[in-house]
Amino acid sequence: MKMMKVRMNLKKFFWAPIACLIFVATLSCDDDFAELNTNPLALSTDKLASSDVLLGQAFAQATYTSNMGLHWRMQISQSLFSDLWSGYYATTYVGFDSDRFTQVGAWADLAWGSFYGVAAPQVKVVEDIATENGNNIAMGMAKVVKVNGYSRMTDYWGPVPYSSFGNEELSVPFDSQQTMYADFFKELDAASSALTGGGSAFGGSDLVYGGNASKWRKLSESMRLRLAMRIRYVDPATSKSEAEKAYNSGALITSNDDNAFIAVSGDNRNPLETITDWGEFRMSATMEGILKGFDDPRRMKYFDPAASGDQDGDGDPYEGLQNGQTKVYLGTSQNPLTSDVNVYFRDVAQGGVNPPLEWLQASEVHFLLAEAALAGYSVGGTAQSYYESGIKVSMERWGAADAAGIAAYTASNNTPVSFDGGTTPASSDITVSFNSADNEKALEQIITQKWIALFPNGWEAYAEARRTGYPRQLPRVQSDNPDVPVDQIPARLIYTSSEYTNNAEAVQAAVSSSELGSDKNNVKLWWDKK
Amino acid sequence: MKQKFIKNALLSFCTLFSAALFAQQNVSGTVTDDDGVPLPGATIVVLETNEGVSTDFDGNYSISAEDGQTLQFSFVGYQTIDQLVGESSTIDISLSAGNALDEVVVTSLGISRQKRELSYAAQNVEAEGIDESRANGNLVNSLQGKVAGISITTTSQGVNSQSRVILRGNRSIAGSSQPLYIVDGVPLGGDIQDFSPDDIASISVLKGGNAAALYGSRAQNGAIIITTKSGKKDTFDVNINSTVTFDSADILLEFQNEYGSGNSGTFTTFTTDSWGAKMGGSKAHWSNNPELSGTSIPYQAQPNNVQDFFDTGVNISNNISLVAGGEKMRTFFSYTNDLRTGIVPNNELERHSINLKIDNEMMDGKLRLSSRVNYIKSITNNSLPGWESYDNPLRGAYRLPRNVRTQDAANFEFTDAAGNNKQNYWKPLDNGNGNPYWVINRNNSERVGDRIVGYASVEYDIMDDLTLLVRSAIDNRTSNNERRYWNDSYIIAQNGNYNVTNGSALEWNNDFLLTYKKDLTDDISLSASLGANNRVVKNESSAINTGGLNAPNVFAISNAQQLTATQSIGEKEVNSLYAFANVGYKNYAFLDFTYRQDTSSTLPIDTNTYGYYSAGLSLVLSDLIDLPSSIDFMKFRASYAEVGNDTDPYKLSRLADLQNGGFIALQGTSPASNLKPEMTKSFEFGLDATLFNRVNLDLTYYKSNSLDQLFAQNVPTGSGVSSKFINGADIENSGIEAFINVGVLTKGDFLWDVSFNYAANKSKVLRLAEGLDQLNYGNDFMRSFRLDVGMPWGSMYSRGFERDSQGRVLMNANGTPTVTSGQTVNVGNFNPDWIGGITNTFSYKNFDLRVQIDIRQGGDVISFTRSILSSDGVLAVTGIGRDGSGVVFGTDVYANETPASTATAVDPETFWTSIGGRNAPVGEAFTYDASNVRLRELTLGYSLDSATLGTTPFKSAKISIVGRNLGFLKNDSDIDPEAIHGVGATNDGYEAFSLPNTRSIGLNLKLGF
Repeated sequence: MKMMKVRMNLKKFFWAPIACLIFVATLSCDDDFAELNTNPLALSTDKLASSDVLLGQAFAQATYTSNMGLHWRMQISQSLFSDLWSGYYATTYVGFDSDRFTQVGAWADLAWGSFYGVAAPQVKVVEDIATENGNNIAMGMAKVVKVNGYSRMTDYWGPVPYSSFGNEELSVPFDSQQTMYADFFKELDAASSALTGGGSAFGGSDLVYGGNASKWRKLSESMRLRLAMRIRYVDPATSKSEAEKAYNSGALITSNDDNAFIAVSGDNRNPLETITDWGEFRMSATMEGILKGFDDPRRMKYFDPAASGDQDGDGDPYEGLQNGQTKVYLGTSQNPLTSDVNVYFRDVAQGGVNPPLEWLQASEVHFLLAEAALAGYSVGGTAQSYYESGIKVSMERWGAADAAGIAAYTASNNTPVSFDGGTTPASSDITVSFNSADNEKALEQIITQKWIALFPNGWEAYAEARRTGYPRQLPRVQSDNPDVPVDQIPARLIYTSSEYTNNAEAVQAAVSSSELGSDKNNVKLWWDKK
Repeated sequence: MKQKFIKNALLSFCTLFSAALFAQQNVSGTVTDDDGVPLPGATIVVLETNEGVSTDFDGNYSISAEDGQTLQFSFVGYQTIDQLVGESSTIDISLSAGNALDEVVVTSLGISRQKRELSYAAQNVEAEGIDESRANGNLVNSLQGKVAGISITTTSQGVNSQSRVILRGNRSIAGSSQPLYIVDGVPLGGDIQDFSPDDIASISVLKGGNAAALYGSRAQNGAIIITTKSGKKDTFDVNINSTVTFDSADILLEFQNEYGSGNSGTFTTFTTDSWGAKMGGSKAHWSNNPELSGTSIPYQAQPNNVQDFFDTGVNISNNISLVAGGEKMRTFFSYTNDLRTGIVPNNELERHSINLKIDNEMMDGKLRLSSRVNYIKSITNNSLPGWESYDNPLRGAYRLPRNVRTQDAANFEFTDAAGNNKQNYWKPLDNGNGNPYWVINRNNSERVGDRIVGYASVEYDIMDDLTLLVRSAIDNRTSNNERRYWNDSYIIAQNGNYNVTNGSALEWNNDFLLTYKKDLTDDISLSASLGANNRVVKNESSAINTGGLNAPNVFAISNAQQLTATQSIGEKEVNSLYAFANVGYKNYAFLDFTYRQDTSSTLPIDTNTYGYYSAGLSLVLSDLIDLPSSIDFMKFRASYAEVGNDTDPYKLSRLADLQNGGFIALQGTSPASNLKPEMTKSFEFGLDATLFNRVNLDLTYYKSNSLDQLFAQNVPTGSGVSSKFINGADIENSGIEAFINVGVLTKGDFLWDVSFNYAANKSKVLRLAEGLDQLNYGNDFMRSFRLDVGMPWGSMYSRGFERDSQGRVLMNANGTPTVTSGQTVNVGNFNPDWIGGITNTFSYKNFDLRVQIDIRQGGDVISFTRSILSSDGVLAVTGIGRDGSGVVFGTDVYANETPASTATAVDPETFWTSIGGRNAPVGEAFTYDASNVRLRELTLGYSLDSATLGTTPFKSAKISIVGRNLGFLKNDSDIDPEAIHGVGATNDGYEAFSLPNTRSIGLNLKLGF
C-alpha cells in the first residue's frame, strides 16, 4: 500500500517537476505514523483491562512465576539456596558453592529479579485492574498470590520492597518484616471476605482451582495459618489470634482434594523436570538417614535408587550425599553413586509426569494445627491427633501406604540412622510415634514430619528449619563461609548487588534498621526468635 | 569434506587464468612541471587496472596501456591529470603545482566536491591495495590504521566476523556510535562487511556530524562513503584478481606443563581443573566410554594440546570483472567468490557477490539513467559466539587439562551399550562444559545470508543550471539460521536440539534532489539544492526452538519436544526535507549551509518533527594572502553542525507480550511518552596544507556534544519496572586528528613515501539526568560497564582488592588478598589515549613494498579468559608455588602490589580460585594495559613491465605477497586486546574466549586483459 503511494509519486514528478511539491506534501503526511508505531505482536495494558480473558492469562503467568515456574528461575532462586539449606538435597556439581554456604551474588540477583522483575509487576497489574473493575473475586485471588510471593521474599532477605512496590521511582524503600507480616494478615482478611460466598473468576486461567472462589478462600485461610505459626516466637499473641481465626473460619485445606497445586502444561512445565536433566542435585545424607531410619515408604516416591545400587551395604539402594562436599570429592562423579529424585519429577522423555507445582497442601495444614495445639492455641484437636492425621494425609497423597501400613508407620519407634553405616552418627533420635511427654521432642517430631511431607517445597522447609531448628541436619563437610559454621545453616540471604547498585539508599537503610544491623548470612530475621 | 572444498577452490583459482586476449601498447613520455622541469617520481596509473609506474630521474616513464584507457598522472603537491590513451604512443604531461587539494572527495548524497571547498575533515582512503590484502574478508578492516581517528576492533566470530567501527569516540548511550555507510550516495541498512573490495573505486571517511548533517540521525557518528566502480567509455577490459592467504593462530597465552587433572594435588578424572598431581607415568583414562574408562594412559604434559586444536585457515578469493562502455552506455560487471576456512576447524564461509552497474545517457546527455544491483550470498558454517558462551569451542579448547592428549580429545564420541551416540569427555554430563572437538563437530550452525543492495536513479537537466535527481534504493538482507545440538551436548536438550531463526532487514530510501548551479558573477559561484527523502526501515524475525527432540539427532521441527516460537518486528518511517547551498568567492572562500527537517514515526506526534542545520567556511589562504614559498597550499576550514536523532519503534507505551502456553507478560521497560529527539552538536576546525612540494598535512580539532539522548536507565526492580526511559545526558568528545603524508625520497627508480596518522579523542560524560550521576548499562559476572558523570565514557567496574588508605592491599589470614564483595572498583577504561598508524610505501622499478604499523596507546582490557583459566590452574602463572612452597601475594605474583600486612604463602589453588573463576572473579586482577603496536599489513608486489608484457596476452600483471596481523611489536597482555565479542557498546575492552591473534600470509595475482 505504502509502496504504491511512493511509486506513483515518483512517476508523477518524473514527468512534471512541479509535482515535487505534491511529493513533499505526501512525505510530510504523518497520519499513519501512530499506527505504524504500534507493535502488532504485543498488547497494550489498556487492552488487558478491557478483557477478563486477557487479564486471566496475565493472572496465570503471575501465579506460575510467583511460584518460581521456569527452570532456571527455580534453580537459581530455590534449588541453590533453600533446597540445599533445608537439607533436601546435596549438590554434586563442583561449581555450586552454595552447598558450602557461599552465597553467589549473581544467583541471588536473579532470584530477586525473578520475583520483583517478572512476577510482582504482573501481580500488581492484575490486582489493580481487578480492583478498579470491581471484580472482587479476581482481586481476592490476586491478593493471595501476592501474599505468597512477598512472604517468600521477606523470608529469604528480611526487609524487602513491598508497600512501595511499583512506585516507578529511582528509589524504592524497604518495608520491615514486622510491618509486612501485619499487612499480610490484613490482605488475607480482604481476600477471604471477597472470596466468601462462592462464585468464580478467570475460569481455566486460574491454574490452581479453575476459578473456584470457595477453594481460594481455603487457600487464603491456610496461608494465614502458615504465616501465623511463622511469627509464633516473636509475636505469640498475634500468632495465636490469627491461627485461631484461620481455624475458626472453617475454611482450611484439610483434605487432599483441596491441595493448592499449580497446574502446568507442556509449554509451562514443572521446572524440576528440566533441572533434573542437568544432573546437579542428589538426595542429601540427612534425608537418607531419616527416611531409611523411619523405613518411610515415601522415599520410593520421592527418590530413585542410586544408579550404581547399594553403596553402604545396608541392603537399601537409596543413597544420600552429605552436604558441603569439597571440590576434590566432587571431582569424582557422585551422580551414579547417589539417589536422583524420583522419575515422577523428571523429564517426560524419561517417564516423568510433569507434576503440578507445590504451593500448599493438606498435610502441611495438619502439621501447622498440630504445632498450634502444642502451643496451646484453641484449634479443635490435640497435637498428637493433628500430627497423626498429617502423616496419614501425606501418605495418602502419595499413595505410599495402605491404611494398615500408615498405622504401623505412625506407631513405629524407628529412629533416623547413620547414612554411612555408622561412621557419621544419625542426625536425631526421635521416633515416628508421637512423644506427648516432651514438648520440644514433640515439636521436633511435628516439624520433621512436616519437612518430609513438604518435599519438594524447599521454600517452606527452609523457613521452618530456621524458625524451629528442625529437622536436625547432619553437619556440612565444609563451610567456606566464616559466618556460618558447618553445624548451622544460613539465617538469611545477603542483599543483591543489583539493589546496592540501583537502590543503594533504601538497601542501606534496611541493613542498618533494627531488624538487621548488618547484611550477613548469619543475621536472624525478625521472626527467628526461638 | 574440507579437502574437497579446498580442491574446488583451487580449481576455480586456476581456471580464471584462461581468458581472452586484447591489444596492448606501450605508452611513454616525460612528466614535467609548468616550467618544463622534469618531475622524478611522479606516478602514472592506468585507472582501469590500477597498474602504475613512476617516472625516472629525468621524468621519463613507460607504461603498458590499451587504447581507450585512462592514465592518471599525479605527483605530491601537484594537480592530478587524467589523460585518455589514444593512438599516439607518446604522452608528455606537464603538471601544475600547488593544486593538490583540487583532489575530489565524494561527500554526502554521493556528491563529488573539490576538497578545497570542504569546510570539514574528509579523508580519502586509497582503494588501491585493498583488493590485494583483502583484510580478513571484511572490507571495513582495510581502513584500520589508514584513517586518522578510526578505531576498528574485530569480533571473534571467525571467518565472517563483524567489526566495531568508531570515529571520534563513543557518544550514544542506547543507540549506535558506529558510522553510517553510504554506497553510491545511498545509505545502507547494514555495514559493508560482505562487500567485495574488487568493486570499490574509492572510499572517503567523513568523520564528524559536520560532514554528514544531510543524512540526519545515523550520520551523527560520521559516514563512510563508498563509490563503486563503473564502466568506462570506449573500453572493453577484463580483469582477474586472485588471492590466497593462509591464517594461523598466534596464541599468546602461556600454559603450565607440570600438573594435570584434579584438585588439591590429587589426580582425578572427572574435572576440568588442572590442580592435580605432578605429571609423570600413567593414570586412569578420563574417558566415559566404557571401552576406554578401565584403561590407563600416559599422564604426561601436553604442551601443544591447545595449539593442536587450531587449523591453518585458508582464504581463497577470485574476482573477474568487466569494464565496458560505448558512447551512451557504460557497464561494470563483477563476480567475486570467497572461500574461507577458519583457524577453528569447521568454521567456513562461502560467499558469492555479483555486481552489475549500468549507466545510460539519453537526450544528448541531458537525461542520465543509472542503476546498480549487487547480490551477495554468504553461507557461514559454525560461526563462533566469540564470548564466554557454552557454544564457544574456544572455551573448551583453552581449558583443556594439561595432560589431555590431542588424539584422545579428538576422539570425541562413542556409541554406548544402548546404541546412543555419546560425547567422549573428561567431565561427562557437566552442564556448561564440553569437549571442544565435540562442540565443533556436534553443535553446528549454518547461516545463509542473502543481501541485495541496489538503486535506480534518473538525473535530468531541466535547464542548463538546474538538475533533478530522483532515486530509489534498497538494502535488503535476509538470513536463515539453523543450529543443531546433538544428543549428549551440555545443553538443556533431550535427544538433541534444533533451532531455526529467520530474519529480514529492509532499508528503503526514496529521494529527489533538485540542484541549481550557477556562477552568479565572475567571482561568485552558487550551488543550491533542495531535496526530500522517505526512509522506510522494517526488521522482522521469527525463531523456533524445538526444546529437545523426540527421536535422537533427527533435526526436524516436527520432531520437537517442547516447541517455542517467538517473533519480533520493528518498523519505522522517517520523512525528511532538506536544503543546502554552497557559495564560492573567487575560488578561495566557500560558505556552506545545510538544513534538514525530519519527521519520525517513533516519536510522539507533537514532537516528532525536528530540524537541524550546519554551517561551514573554507578559506584557501594560499590564494588569499602571500605565504612563504615553502607553503604551496594552505586552507583553513571551520564548521558547526547539529544532527538530530529519533529512537526505536514502539517505545511510547508499556506493552505486554503474548507467550507460548497462553501467558501474557508485561514488558520491563516503562513507556517514554514524552520523548524529545536526541541531538548531537559538533564543531570542528582544521588546516590543510602542502609544504615543500612533498608534504601534505591535514589537521583537525573537533568537539561534539550529544544531548537529550534517549536511553533506558536501570531502576530498582521494586519500582515495578526494570528500566525507565530517560531523555538526558551530555556526552562530550573532543580531540585532534592529524594526517601527514611525506614524499621522503625520490631518486631514480626509487620512491619512498610515508603516511602518518594520529588521533587523540577525549570523552567526558558531562551530564546524565537529574539526580543521576552514574549509569550502569551492562554487567555480567566479570564487570559492569558504567558511565560516571565527570569521567570519560565507559568505565569498567569489577571486584577489586580491598585497600588501606595508602593503597596497600588488605590481606586475609590465609594469605589471599581481601576483595570487595561487589563490582565497586573502577578498573579502567578501554578508550585509548591516542591511536595512530605509520605506512611506508617503497617502490623500486617493478617492485613495490608497503608496510603498515598500527599503534594504540592507552586504555585497558579486562580478560575473562584469564580469570577462568587461572582458577582452572592451566596458565603458567598458576604453576608457581605448587611444589608445596605456596605463592606469596605481592612477591611471587602481583609483584606490583604491596600487602598491608605480611603476606603468607598460600596454596596456589586456594589463591587462584579465590580471585579467578567464572562466578565471582576479581576483575582488577585480570585487567591489562591495552596499548599495543602491531605490524598490521605488509605487501610486496612485483608488476611486469610493459616490455615483458608485450610478449604475453596480458595488458597488466602483478603478483604480490600479502601479510596481515603479522605480530605485535609491543603488547603488555597475553591476549589480543582488540579482539572483542560483539559490536555493541558494552563489549569495549572485554575479552572472553576470543580468537587468538590471527596471522595471515598469502599471495595475490592480478591480471588485466
